[in-house]
This record gives sequence, C-alpha cells and structure tokens, in this order.
Amino acid sequence: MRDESLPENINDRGIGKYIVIAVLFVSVFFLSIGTGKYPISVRDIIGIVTGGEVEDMVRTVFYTLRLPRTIMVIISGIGLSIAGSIYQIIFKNPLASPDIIGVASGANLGAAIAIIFLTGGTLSVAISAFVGGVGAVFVALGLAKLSREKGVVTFVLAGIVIGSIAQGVIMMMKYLADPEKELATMEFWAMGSFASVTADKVLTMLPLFLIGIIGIILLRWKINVLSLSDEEAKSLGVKVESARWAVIIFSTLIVASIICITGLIAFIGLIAPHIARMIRKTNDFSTTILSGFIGAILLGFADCLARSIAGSEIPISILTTFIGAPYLAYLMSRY
Amino acid sequence: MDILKIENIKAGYDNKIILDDISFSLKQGELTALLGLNGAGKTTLLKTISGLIKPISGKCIIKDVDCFSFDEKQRARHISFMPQRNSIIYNTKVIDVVLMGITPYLGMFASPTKEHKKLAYDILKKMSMEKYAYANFLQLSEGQKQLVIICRSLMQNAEIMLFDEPDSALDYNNRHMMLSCIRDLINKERRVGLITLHDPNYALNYCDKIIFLEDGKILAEFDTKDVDNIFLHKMFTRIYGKIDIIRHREKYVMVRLDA
Repeated sequence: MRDESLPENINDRGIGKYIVIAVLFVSVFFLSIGTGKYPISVRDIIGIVTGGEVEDMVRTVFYTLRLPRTIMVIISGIGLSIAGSIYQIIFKNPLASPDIIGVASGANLGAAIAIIFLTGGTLSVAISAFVGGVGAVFVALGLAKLSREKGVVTFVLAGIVIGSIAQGVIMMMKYLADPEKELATMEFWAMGSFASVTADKVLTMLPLFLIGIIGIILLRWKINVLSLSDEEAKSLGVKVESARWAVIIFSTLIVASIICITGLIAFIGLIAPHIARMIRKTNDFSTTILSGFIGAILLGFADCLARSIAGSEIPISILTTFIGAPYLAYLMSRY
Repeated sequence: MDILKIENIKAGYDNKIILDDISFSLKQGELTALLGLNGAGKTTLLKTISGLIKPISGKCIIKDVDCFSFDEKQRARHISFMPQRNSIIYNTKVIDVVLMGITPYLGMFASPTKEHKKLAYDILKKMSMEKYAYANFLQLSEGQKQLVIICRSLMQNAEIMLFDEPDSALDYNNRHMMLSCIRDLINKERRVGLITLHDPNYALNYCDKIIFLEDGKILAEFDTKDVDNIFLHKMFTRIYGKIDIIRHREKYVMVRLDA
C-alpha cells in the first residue's frame, strides 16, 4: 500500500558546507577592511586589534572609514536577506523581496522629500527615508485592513498600490527637481551606496535594527506556522492577523533602518534566501539565519567590487543586480 | 457521553444562509460522517465548528462550555481540523510538520522543545511513519502526506477531531488505509470524530453514525449499525437518485442503477 522506497533524508548536519560559509564570511570581512585607495593588510588589521605598531594613517582609515563601512555592509546583508527570507515564507511566495509591501518605495519617497524640500543633508535624508519606509508600510497595512479579505494577497496588492503612489510622487518630484544637483542626488540614492557610511550612522541605526532582529527571533516559530494557509495556521491556534502584523512590523524596522543609511539595494534580499534553501534543502528558521550570512557575503563582495573596479565608486545596486539577475535566470532554468 | 453539542447553528457568507438551524451531538469514541451533495454545507459546518467561519448564531458546546467564546489557541487545544489539502509549499522535514501541532500549547514567543520533538517522533512511530521523520514532506506520496497531517492533529491532542474530505486526493488503497486509520484512532483513543465524505459507501463502511445534509439543513441522522434496508433506500434515493442498497457481508453497499 505504501511506497516502500524511502525518500532521501534532509541532511542538515553536514558540517563542511558551514565551514566553507564561515571561511567566506571571515574572508569577506578582511577583504572589505582592506579594499580601497589605502589598502590595509591583514597584518595591519591584526596589529590594530592587538595594539601593535601601526602607521597612524592606517589606523585612522581603519576606524573612521573601513570598520564602520564593513560593519554596515555585513548588517545590511544580514538584515535584507533575513527580511527577504521571512517575507518569502509568510507571503508564501518564493519571489517575495523585502520591499513587497512598500518599504523601499516609501523610503525612496522620504529621501526624495528630504533632498528637495529639506536640507538634503545626510541626517535629514536618513531620517526622512526611515519615516517614509515605515510610514508606507503602515499605510499599506491600514489599506489591507479595509478589505474584508484578510489573506496575504491583500497585503501584496496594498503594497503595490502604496509603492505605485510613492513612485508617482517621486517621478513628479524628479520632473520638478534641479537636474544638476537634486535629480542626481535622488538618482544616486536610489542606486544605493556604502561610500558615506560613518560610525555615527551605524551606531544610530543599530538599536532599531537590533529591535527588529530580536523581535523576529522571538517570533521564529510563528513565522514557520505562517507559511501555511491562513485557515491551517488558524486551526493550529495562531492568531494569524496579529502574528502577521507583528512579523511585518519587525521586518520593516530591519529593512528601513538599513536602507535609510545605504539607499536602495537591489536583489540581495531576494536571492540570498534561495541560496540558503539550496544549501540546507529545508526551510526553517536556521535557513533564515543562514540566508542572512549568505547575504552578508554576497553584499560584501559586491561592495569590494564597487569601490575597486573603477576610478570612482560605483553604486552598489548596479553590482547586486548583475549578481542577482543571472542567478534568477539560473534558478528559472532549474524548474 | 455527549462531548460535542451543536445547538441551532446558523451560518453563511454575505446575505446567503448556508447552514440553517443545525443541531446534533456527538459521543466519545464515535466517528460521524457528514454526507451531502456539493453545496449542501458540509465544509461550511466543519469550518464553523473549528472556528474558521464565524456563525451568525448558535452554540458549539464542548463539555458544557460554548467554544465560540474561545480564542484560536484555546479552540485549537480542543478541536483539530484536517483540511482537504495541506498548504505546505517549501521543503520541510516531516518531523517539523508534526511539531506544528504543538503550537496551541506554546506562548507567543516560544518554540518547540526537545521533549516536544520526542513526542512528535513517538506519534510518527505510532503511525509507523518514523522512518520518514527526517524525509522531505514534499517528496512523500499523497497518502503519506495525509498520514503526517493526521500525526500533526494527534500532536494537537484535541478530543474533537474534524476531517474535511481527507481522502479526496487519494487512490483506492490509500483511501481505505486513511479511513481505517481515522476510524481506529477515534474508536480506540475515545475521541470525537466528524468527517465529511463524498462517497456514501465509505461512510457506511467506516463510520458509526451518518448525518445527512441537504440545502443547509439536517435531513437525517442515524447509526450505521441499527439501520434497515428500507430506510437507507428511501434516504439515499432522495439524495442520489436511481440507486439500490444491497447487503454484502453484513454491510450495506449502495450501487447506482443507471450507470
């Protein structure tokens, strides 16, 4: 009666692949510290950390430029990929990305408003982008609440509506912007960059980011159950609507706290979860965590390329797009 | 002893009444079939009892408490619901699917513990599925998947178990395997079982009691053991048209005459 041929066990105990990932992660860290106009060698880094003899210039570059930037890159890779993984789970859609319910468009609008109507300084852009991103998600959630249909499709539609409205306003502002300065700033913001990251900025976003991550870790089992249909999750005793709200709000906090500093970063949150699922062959919270580290590695390499392949820095989304889109095509060919 | 009492349930969507004044009660250790044609209200009734659809009026009393006042978590400890098809789309270990059944006993921020995992493994063992514990749920056959979902319901450990056409995606052999498994669970573990089925022969074969629904009302309610040929013939003709009831090895079988 039953199929006697045993299906292959899901093997998540093999330590080898995790060692490879750990080695890559550490190498990206050193590479990211070292890459740039003032190269810093591994020996210099060890010297700085252990308090050895190091040139003052190297020490200054390390503390004011490279370390904050590298930390921000790692945080961004982790945060965007974890959020992407979670959205792919709770929206039951492997093509969901962190901006599915409008956080990126909202942040983009916020940044544009700061560039045109406020001072346009980095602080005002960051605050305005953060408020825009979080605000857009709340408006989308409110819009979804208007509908009697409480399924995930409503959230996706609300996200499309809010995203489109934000894009419309942005286009209008671009049309009115001074093309030399404002328009260029807006365009560059939307392509993302780690060039202007400072220690102050990292320390400011870090608490918000951590609140989001802790919230997500606490909700890890609920996220798992939310991968089921609403009816199935409800019959397992989950208050589906409030649990989904909580997950979306914490994820939004993570994403908004990152992109308000870096600008928009394409594709990382979409592809890192896929790679993690391919490695672990299963989809639980450990896979979400792993996708965070994969995202950090990918983004780390992309950022090293961004600051080294041309005379001046290249916006990060150009590189992440060229990494992400071919990978999607590869995934497509496998199905 | 009556564990589940349904009193005057009225339910529906928008302005359309789908269930009108439904009342019945279910005993411990009995498996009851809900029969009826498409649109008779079988699934709506099941979903109303399990809290997935809010009723317009009526009560659903479990051991003297109206379960319509329960929240999702309380309800899930008393009532488990097995859907027609599960909705798992990502690769998941079988044991993790079973573990989801412990969710109503966990706090908002808690995850299953090692003890829960052991319990899940023991349940898989009870259903002779332990060799699949670390297999990928999506690679199992449809029959095996449904067994795993039953294990998940057992993990939920609710005294009332609802099943919405659990056999609809299964082949002939798996269908019999599934239904005898459900019957044994309900009878031996003294739970209350309510199952919707399409085929009346399966209901006659595997269930202790049959409730007939027609246009959102109860048409008849009877024990499959003390029922006679004449009554069955009259009842089944009304719903299914040109049929005959024959007796085969102390069991009634319905056959279609104009097939």
